[in-house]
Amino acid sequence: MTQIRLQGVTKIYESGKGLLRAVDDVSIEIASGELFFLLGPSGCGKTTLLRIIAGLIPPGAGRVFFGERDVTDLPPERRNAAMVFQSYALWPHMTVAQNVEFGPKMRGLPRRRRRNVVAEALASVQMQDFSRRRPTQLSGGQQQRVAVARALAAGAECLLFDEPLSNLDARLRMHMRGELWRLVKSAGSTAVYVTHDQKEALSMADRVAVMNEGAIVQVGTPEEIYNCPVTRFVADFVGEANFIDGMVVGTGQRVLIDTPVGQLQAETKDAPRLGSAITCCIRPERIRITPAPGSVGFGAWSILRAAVISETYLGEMRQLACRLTNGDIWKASTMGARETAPRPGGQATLVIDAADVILVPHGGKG
Amino acid sequence: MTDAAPAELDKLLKAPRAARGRAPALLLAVAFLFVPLAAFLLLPICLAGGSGFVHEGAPSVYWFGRVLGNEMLMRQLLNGVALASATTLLCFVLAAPLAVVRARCRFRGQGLLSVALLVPLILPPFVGALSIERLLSRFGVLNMVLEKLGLVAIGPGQLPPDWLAGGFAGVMVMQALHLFPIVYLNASAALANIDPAHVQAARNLGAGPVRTFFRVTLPLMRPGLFAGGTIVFIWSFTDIGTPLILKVRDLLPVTLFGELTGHAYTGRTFSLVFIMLAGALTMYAMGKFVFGRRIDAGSSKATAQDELRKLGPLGTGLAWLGFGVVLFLAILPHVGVVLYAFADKWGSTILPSRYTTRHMTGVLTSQDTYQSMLNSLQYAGVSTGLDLALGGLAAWLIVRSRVVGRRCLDSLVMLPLAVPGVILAAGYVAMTAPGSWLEEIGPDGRPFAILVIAYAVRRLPFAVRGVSAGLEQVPESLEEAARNLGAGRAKTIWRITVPLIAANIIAAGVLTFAFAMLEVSDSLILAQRPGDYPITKQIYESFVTGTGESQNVAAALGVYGMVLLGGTMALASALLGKRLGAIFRA
Repeated sequence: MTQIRLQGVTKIYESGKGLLRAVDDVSIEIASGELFFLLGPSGCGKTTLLRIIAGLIPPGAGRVFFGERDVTDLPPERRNAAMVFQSYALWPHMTVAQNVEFGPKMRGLPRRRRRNVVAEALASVQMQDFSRRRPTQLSGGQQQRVAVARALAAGAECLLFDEPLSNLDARLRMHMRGELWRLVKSAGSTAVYVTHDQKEALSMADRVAVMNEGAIVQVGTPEEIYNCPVTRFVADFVGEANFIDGMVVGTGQRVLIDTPVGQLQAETKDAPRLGSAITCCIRPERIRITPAPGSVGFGAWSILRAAVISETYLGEMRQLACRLTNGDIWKASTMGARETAPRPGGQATLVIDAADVILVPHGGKG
Repeated sequence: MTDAAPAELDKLLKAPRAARGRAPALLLAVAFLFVPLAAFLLLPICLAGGSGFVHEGAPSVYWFGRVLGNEMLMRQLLNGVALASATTLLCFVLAAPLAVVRARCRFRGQGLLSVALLVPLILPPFVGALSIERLLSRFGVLNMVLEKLGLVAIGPGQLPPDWLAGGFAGVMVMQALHLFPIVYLNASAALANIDPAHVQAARNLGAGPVRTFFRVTLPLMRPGLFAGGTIVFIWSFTDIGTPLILKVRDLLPVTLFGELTGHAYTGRTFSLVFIMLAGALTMYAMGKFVFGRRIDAGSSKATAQDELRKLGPLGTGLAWLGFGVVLFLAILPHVGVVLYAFADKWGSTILPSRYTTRHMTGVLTSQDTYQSMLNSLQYAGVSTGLDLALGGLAAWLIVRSRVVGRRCLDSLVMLPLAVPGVILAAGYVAMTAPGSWLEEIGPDGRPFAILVIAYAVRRLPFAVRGVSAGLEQVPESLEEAARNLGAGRAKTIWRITVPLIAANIIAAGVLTFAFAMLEVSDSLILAQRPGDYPITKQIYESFVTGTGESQNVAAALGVYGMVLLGGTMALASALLGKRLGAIFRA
């Protein structure tokens, strides 16, 4: 197990349109044994950052440390960081066993010990019966497991995952999330995992770094990222969110925000300045929706009127698209029975608890 | 995204650690590629072309004046242009319809026919020319067949037509029948890259099939057609072997051959070389950058599936007939060579009246012919080793590395395709002229080294192209995975890359070897003494001697050459499958 530390890592590419900052002054610390996710949209620099950690790309500036060891100038074969590639990169001219044996062989393990390591690695991914097959004879899911076994067998200080589940179908992906988590945790390795799938990150990570345009926007646990996004970008990228801009007109126990659709209340530890512009973010599943107006009891509720314009059935819930009085369309999710939920074409009351209103800085995308 | 301050960016972009990994690759490139290619490709070209600009030790256009004012030489130049144009046109006529049928239709046996169309590439025109006179001359086999069919009369006062037209037509036919597959391959590739949506849009807007072909398909095919046509034109314009065998003397390459091998070369000789070189390079540049420039069709990927037209029995029969006739014509001269090689007596009959194997066995027992085969094996063997080593290195630098100058390297290693063999041979003659420090390895000394170098330089593009094709198909992630797991660069190349591209390396090696074995221009010009003759020079000498059975011996040597080339092509095809054609495309 080893700690990974990045200090001011930057990578700039020259392109036909000028200079492209693929990674922009990234500094993070990943604790020993942590399963750390890099989450962001395509092109945000997360894979570039992972490849810098692996030594496959040199950084333009900054340093990379594994524990106390500065590995910045070390070639990939000397870093001891095993990677699972997005395409798996299994060698077609070698059998499954030979693929998995490669890392131990390069480390110089004697043959008998190598065999044991290979057998253990394949057993951990339930691929022990496929050792003599070639990668082209395996399904996508099987190839993915062999790729993981190859990385585990290498006995590296840390594991690096480059969107390893992206080529699998949805059902298999869900199953493999659990498998991967179990494997990484039982290996006890420090792991860095790149994905654009927020559900993957939220369900597996110890901590998540959300990236955008080469920079890290927020680092936190999945709960922190989801419930306390620090920018509109994070709120929008991780989960679904409704937004409305407003102005702070009252501070105190709760913050009062004047918006085009009425006043909203928010509970927050860091109260914004009175009179400042602010953006309110509310998750669809946090909105209570009723078909009729009226008081809904005690508490710091904000009440908004809306017209229901459509309904989407998602199995475990219904999602209603509601037009607010200013024309904005908000989504509200309800688990209620269809008979009691507001219907498209009808009016609805949206009830929002102050604790569920997230405040993010106005303007900018984070 | 915002830019950092200029000084900071400058520092980031020029970070020494980023450049560190590229330094060894650059050193490799310079030491093992740029320097040798400069010495044995660029220098001979410059010597060959530049020596014509020197008169009495000073720069001068004197020799050019002599050339341009020489009626015979200008006539030979025009003859060469006419021949090349006619050959190219004939190639288009033969190949374009076949390529269109292959690309747009589906019929039984089309795969086999496509592979069979590559056969003419392995049949050297130089060898086929041995029999073309017997086939097409005034009293040749064709007129005998026509006489039997009652279409011509042969007798006193009744001369049948000379299909060779003084040899010119024979040269054109031999060259076209050998080279049309190159146009076919390029045209097929061009057609395959046309998004069917373009054609469908034209049809949707009311254009019939013929109009659509001329207004949409043909313009979009143009780069591919010109790419193939350029290769054919240059090859034909500078071909020595076929005109020599058919005794067509009124061409510049033949004049050059005579002066270079007769030790009668002067500045005028190299002025001729410059003119030929300028013509070839101009044609290459026009083909690549003007006529052959890709038309931006918006999308390079097909956005719509094209429904291939399934041919019925009649259509299939016609397709087979078309392909079959062209193939038959292409192999006919070589069938003639085989008959020649086994003929004991072949007088004024359509086929030999008696057969024997003594010419075939005699080749192996006669000192001269056996020595020539040994020489060819040695020259080709060593040159192939050089090609694979240097070509593999060049391919890796071009495809995999980020070294500065790799585009320049790519153009440099492909340059031998644009420079005719006779030009390079003339350059080597100039390099090893009496009085120069390389005289010892010249045609009058011990030419083993210069022949190996000449073969290696000429075939280097095949090796580079073959290995590059393999590297492009191996995802870099496979190599990265090996390095990630502890393998250094060399170990990764040996354990991962080489096994995965082994088929490409072997195929490139066997093709390079086979074509080197049958190299014509360098062999004819650089091997002057009988003990140094490779197979092709021995074939020429045996044929032109014309005494006794020497022409049969020449044919027998030709048969061995065809078998060698056929076997290696079959092996390469088995290893590379559909990708074989890529090696011959421009």
